[in-house]
Amino acid sequence: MSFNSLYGNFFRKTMILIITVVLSSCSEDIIDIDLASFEKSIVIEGIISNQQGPYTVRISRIDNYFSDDISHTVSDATVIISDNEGNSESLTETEPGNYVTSSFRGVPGRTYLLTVISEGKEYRASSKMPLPIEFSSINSEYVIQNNYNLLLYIKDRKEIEEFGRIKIFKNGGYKNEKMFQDQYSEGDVVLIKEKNFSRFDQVTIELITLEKNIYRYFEDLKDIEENKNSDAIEIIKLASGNPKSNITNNALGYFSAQTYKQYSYVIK
Amino acid sequence: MKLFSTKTGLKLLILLIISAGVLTAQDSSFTDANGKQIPKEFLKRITLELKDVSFTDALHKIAAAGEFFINFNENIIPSSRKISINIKNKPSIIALIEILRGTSIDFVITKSNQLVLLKISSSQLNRNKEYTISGYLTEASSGEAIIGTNIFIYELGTGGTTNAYGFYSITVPQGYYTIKFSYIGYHTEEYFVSLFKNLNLNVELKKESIEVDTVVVISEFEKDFVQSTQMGTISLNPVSMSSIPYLLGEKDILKTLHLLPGVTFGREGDAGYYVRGGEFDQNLTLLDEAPIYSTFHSFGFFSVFNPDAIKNITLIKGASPPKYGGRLSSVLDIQMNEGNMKEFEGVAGFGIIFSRFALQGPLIEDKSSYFISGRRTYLDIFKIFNPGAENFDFYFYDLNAKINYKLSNTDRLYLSGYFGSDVMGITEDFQMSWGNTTGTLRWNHLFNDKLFLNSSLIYSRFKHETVIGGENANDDNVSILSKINDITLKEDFEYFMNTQNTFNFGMNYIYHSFLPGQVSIKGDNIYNFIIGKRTADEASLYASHELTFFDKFKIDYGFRATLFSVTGEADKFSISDIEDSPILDLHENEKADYFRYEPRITLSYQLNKSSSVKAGYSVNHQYLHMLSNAISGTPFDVWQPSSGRVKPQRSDQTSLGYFKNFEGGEYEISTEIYYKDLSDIIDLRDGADLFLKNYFESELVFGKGWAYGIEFYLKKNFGNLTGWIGYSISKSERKIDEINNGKPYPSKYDRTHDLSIVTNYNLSSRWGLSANWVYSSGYNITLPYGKYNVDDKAVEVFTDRNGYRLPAYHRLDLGVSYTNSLGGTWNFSLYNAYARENTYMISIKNSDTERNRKEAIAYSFFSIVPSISYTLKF
Repeated sequence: MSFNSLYGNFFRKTMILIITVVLSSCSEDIIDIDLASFEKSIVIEGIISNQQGPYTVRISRIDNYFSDDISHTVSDATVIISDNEGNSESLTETEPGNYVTSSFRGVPGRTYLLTVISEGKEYRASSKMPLPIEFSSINSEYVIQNNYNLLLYIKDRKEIEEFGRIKIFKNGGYKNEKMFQDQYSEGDVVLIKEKNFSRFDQVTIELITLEKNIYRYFEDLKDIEENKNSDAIEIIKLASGNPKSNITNNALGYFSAQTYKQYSYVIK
Repeated sequence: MKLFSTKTGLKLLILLIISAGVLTAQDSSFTDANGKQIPKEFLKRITLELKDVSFTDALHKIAAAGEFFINFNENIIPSSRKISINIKNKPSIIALIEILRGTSIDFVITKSNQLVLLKISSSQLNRNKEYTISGYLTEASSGEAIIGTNIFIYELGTGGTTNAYGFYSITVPQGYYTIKFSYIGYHTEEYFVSLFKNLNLNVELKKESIEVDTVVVISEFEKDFVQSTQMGTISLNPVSMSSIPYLLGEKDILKTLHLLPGVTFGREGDAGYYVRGGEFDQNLTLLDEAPIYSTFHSFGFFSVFNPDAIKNITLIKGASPPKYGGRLSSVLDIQMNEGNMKEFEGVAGFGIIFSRFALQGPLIEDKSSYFISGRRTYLDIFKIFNPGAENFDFYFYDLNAKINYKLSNTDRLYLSGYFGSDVMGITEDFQMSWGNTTGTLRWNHLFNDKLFLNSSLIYSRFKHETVIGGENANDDNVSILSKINDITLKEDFEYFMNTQNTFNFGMNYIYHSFLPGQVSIKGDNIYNFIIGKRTADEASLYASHELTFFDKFKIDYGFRATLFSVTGEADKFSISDIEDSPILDLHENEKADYFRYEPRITLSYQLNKSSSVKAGYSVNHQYLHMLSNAISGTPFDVWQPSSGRVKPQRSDQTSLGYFKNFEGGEYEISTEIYYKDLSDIIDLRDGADLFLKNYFESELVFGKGWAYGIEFYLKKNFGNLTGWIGYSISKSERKIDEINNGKPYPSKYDRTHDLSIVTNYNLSSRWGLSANWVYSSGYNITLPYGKYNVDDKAVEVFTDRNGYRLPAYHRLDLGVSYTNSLGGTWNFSLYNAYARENTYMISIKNSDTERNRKEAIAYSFFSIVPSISYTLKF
């Protein structure tokens, strides 16, 4: 554990401890939060990639935070994806809120446009599919007693900005996700380390290259996720916000044209 | 006929002192030029009313009433002049001065006790010749300086006020004057002076007795509130606060401020204060000129200022004089007691939470005195409400001390200090402590009777330290330290040119050093890990000129110019976001300089004797910022300087006000409207977390803001019923690109309505009743209100920043005080008398009964809190 996180964790824990003591001196009441004035926004999640389709666009509406409703899907929307080469396709709703392409194919370098028309409102987003980032090498290191670290190296390309999500699977199960950006690397080789592997573990790594604004979206999402696990929500969460969507008309969610590259590695 | 000291006698005639009302020994202090007392024959109190009589007649009638002889040559008497006077129970000489006013006649008294009238030569009659009357104003029983007293020259309809050290200086044309010194709670003193040379007049004011049948008379001339150019300024002293009921019966300066219009609070019990839509760190809080960086004890429930140690408090919400700078919202200037110069005095107080004491007395009578006070909690506030918190050990204490020494008539030294700390132990090997230490050395010097200089050397430190691990020196332990240190050197000049012109100018230099975090691990090896260490130089120059023109206009204009220069390790950020990836060297040495210029101007126009309108404009910059992890008031608050990335915040405030006194000052009413424009404002980015990121600057975003509002204040100063009503309606918003999609959002402490009613009723000399009621719009929080799934994760949807307003806050407090014959006072109070459950905090939890369901929990801290305290004076 680095000093940084030692320091931060210490403060967080002490703070929670103090708050717990303070609050245990308080009386508690479950209250109704009046949510009438808040809009039930639409949520759109659309991905198009360099892999074989079909690609899916999911449409739903947000639910009351204090209810146990699952998700409200939005049906009967018109969903169109087009690109800057003149290709266009209207998506079909295969199950409630799920709209899929049939023949459309994503190509890195092209710009894609999503148009959704639902209940008289039109939502638009555009996304340019970036060129894929690649690992320059993958390695592992022995730490202690059948404990290994996975080492992923990316050679930063100085001339282009790169943003990626790295999903790591161990023996077929999801393990962790890392975020990568090259803003401060300037041509260096960047090392990304993942801990806690055993010898002969089968590792699959999915490297997703994103646009900058989509990267930021996932970064914000991660912040919210990290904040979520505390009880004393209002105090610990200094300044909560919503991830900035690239879709117009106050829709939540994102539309991302992204590239995938998959790697396999055996820990040794 | 032989006159004694004929020539000088004309110039330096008499200084007579009377006090309106009962005949006192003061009458014998009439002196002539040689310091010889004016014979009693001329001091007989007379009552005389004359209407349109000739000058000669008037002279004879005064002489007859006063039973003395008067000699004059008829040729010098203006025969056409008609005289009307109305003298009630005043020395006969006053009547004479009264009718001689405006003539070229003066008088001398011979050795044989004859009064002779003489014509003054035209050169002696030089009306333009000006003289200065100056001196110190002190409290009669203790010899302590009285600050902000109005001095009014009846004949000129103008005057001055005493400065922070009780010094005043007024320069006016030669002549006879009636000078009144008045201050709330003190008997007004009236002096008749003949000013034909510079005069040093040190005055003592006596406290009003608190007997109920005493009608407190405040001079009708006491209208500084109306006359001065100051706006948005309120002074309080602990005496005026003592009747207000407080939480747990402990009077608290900062909580008193909450009751004023334009000042609001955070949560229930919070001693933090927020002025005109500003943030907590935008208040400059000075204790004997030393900045106090953490003004709370026990997470905000008490302020660090022990009322026993405090003499005077001035809050400036509006255009502050240029001698203050460095914060956007307000200046809170707190002065500590100096110590009784005449006799020993002591106070001891016993309450539910703590005991306190204060001792003071002369070291050398009338030359040097000391003051010392302290208090310490003996019961942990949380344990009262929560006996279960066994392992939680908590206490705090404060110690204030001051010594002053009069070197000479022109030089005086003051040394004061404050030390306070909170100490918390959660388990045996976990100790946390934090607190302020300040020291102020001041030297008052009078260059002459018009030029006053105060030089100060000031030290201030806020330190927070945590030790985890064994108590023995050899044990392994981890200690975490965070601190800010200031050393200030100040020179403040005041030049009292004449009644139309006063100048203030000076400089100050502050050396700041910041150590936001240092982690030391002691075991087999010693590790030291330091983050964000920086130093900064803040040098300021200022000057202002107060000018009175066309009688009714007063303007105070000036500037403050500051050079702020920071050096140290800058925060370079972001790659650390990749958890566990190799950390690049995130620190790089940085130097950033800012030069900022701030115009300040206030203007007042006297509509009539009792009312005025005022306008003000001021610019302020802020070079230090407090980053608060949660509620302010925890030891985790971190002060950071402006840096290459974080520019100084700026505020431009414009305000306009109307001020009126009526019923002879019994009531005062004011209303002020203000607009503040804020730029380079700092807020936390969405999702910011100061716990996990040590490089705080990456968590900040910058933008602009504005705040505006109107405030009403009605105050009843005396009578059996006293108190005030304060109301403000206001709005405070911020606009930052990265927050809320760049749309404006309310600041956290934007309170639309804020009302306080404070009353105090004297039943008898022993019993007093008090009640106050506060109402305030709820404060704003950011709350999740929706949820959805994206990327196979459940995501919360939040309101706009500060987009949810909590229910309104209101509370009634009641108090009864009883003073026994020993001089001890019992205070009984009932805080939150109708048990309103005001929300302290909102938290969100998973429902106990239904899975997948979230519940919002409102925590409220205090129901009715009765308390009792006893204060003994000896």
